[in-house]
Amino acid sequence: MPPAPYPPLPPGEDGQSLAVFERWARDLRRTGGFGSGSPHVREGWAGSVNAGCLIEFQLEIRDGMIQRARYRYRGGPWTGAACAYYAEWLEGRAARPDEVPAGRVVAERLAYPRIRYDEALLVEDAILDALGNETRSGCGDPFGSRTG
Amino acid sequence: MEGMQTRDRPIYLDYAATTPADPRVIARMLEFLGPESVFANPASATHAPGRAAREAVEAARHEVAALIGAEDHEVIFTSGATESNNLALRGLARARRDRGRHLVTSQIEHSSVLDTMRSLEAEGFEVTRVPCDRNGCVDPEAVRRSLRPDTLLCSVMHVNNETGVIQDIAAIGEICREQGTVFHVDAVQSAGKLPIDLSRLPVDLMSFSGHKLYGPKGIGALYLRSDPELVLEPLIRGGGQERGLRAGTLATHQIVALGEAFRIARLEGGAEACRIQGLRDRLWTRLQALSGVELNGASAPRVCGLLSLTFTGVGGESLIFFLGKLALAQGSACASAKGEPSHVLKALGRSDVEAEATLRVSLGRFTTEDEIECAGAAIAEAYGRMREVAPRERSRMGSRTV
Repeated sequence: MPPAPYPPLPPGEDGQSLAVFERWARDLRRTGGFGSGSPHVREGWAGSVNAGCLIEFQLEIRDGMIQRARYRYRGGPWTGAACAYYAEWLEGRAARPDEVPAGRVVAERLAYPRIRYDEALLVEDAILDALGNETRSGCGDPFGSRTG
Repeated sequence: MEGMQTRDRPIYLDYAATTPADPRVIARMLEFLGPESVFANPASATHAPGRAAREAVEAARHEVAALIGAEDHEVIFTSGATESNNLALRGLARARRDRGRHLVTSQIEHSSVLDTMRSLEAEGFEVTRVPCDRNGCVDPEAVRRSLRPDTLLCSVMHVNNETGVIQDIAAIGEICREQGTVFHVDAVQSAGKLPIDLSRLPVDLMSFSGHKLYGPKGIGALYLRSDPELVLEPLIRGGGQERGLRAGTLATHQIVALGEAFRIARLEGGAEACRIQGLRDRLWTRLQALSGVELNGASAPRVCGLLSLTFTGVGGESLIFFLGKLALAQGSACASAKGEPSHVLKALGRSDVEAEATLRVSLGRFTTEDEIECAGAAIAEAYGRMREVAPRERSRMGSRTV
């Protein structure tokens, strides 16, 4: 059986309320990193401090699978929520760009207002950077088409 | 007096934005609202209820004047400081447009002054905006250099609403007086917190607000120095109330509430300011122990209840988010394309990123020691958490920018 498309949500949360975002933004699991030097750890970055948002994502990859995901960020709570959501999603998945949900999808899933979508997109960028994906050719959205 | 909030309510630390009405003010206000109260129109001099309302209005005017060392007839009631600032600036500029076209203000004024100045520019006036130094102080000599023979008016606030820095309005006023320039002061953040004696200060116009001084919203005052030469063109015309400068039926209940708020401030303001300053200093002592927290205006004289704090290395929006149990203000709008950074913090030399990571903590009459302890602990915890999750130093950037 394929894994559930998203980490389970608490009962009563349908992905359309602020409570969903708040849950992920407040409960920042999997923050931090693995240290440097491990051949199994790949890291990716996106954003900049001057732009108000900087994300560092680290993935521990063994046998083509993401064993663990960790992140650090500087930005708003929307950035933090997307990082936490992605990190939970990625663990146990194949280390391939097309396994990574698009930022837009995550933003919708976490019920972000439109003006905050860019923060989920940046998190996606950091993950794709870690996976070494340079092309981002329309892949990475297992739940729908990427419209940017 | 008991603290104003219970445990399940946020700790209110945004007194610079607005204050709750003092219960004594509310009680006074209620005497002028219901059918059994003094509700008549103060302009109705033909009957006793109207005259009673007029007496109450004049008693309130006296209380306002008493706090600031003015004569009763020098106080004009308005809807608030924004209207007072508009009346002072527009009213003076338009009344004297045949004498000159130049106006002076500082870069760190409230938007009700800066926006009014911009609109006067559109009417053909020329505006010079004097900068401040890194501590947020406007140099009186810089004001002197900006004045010209055709300068009609200079407007500088007494206390800045974001940093709490006190400007030397006595020195600036003296310079304006020497040059024959009308001097306006926005005293919204200083009234009741600092002594103001307009019988001595060289100030021609001064703006006040009720809701920054434990009065209700929707009421304020403008001090207009008694001088036949000092004429304003009214913004609102009608029934000739307030010496023809501000038409409209007087809001008796709000005016008496303002008077009560000013009376309380006159009687209790000194001791209150000491207590609040003690709490503020206690909070700052706690926070300055955290590496990376910077106090804006640290070397300048500052009003008793305000701290402008820049939290380096973290995002201000996240900090605010994790400080949900505290009601405080972000020193600026988010820099990440969600709004403009604070013009005040920028004038102090802060970058957009630093401005976004700046919080304003403002204490007031109902702030308790317990709340300050809780606030200090909460801020330290949230800042520590944000520092923990902050990315490492690195120059490499991602492909997509916000």
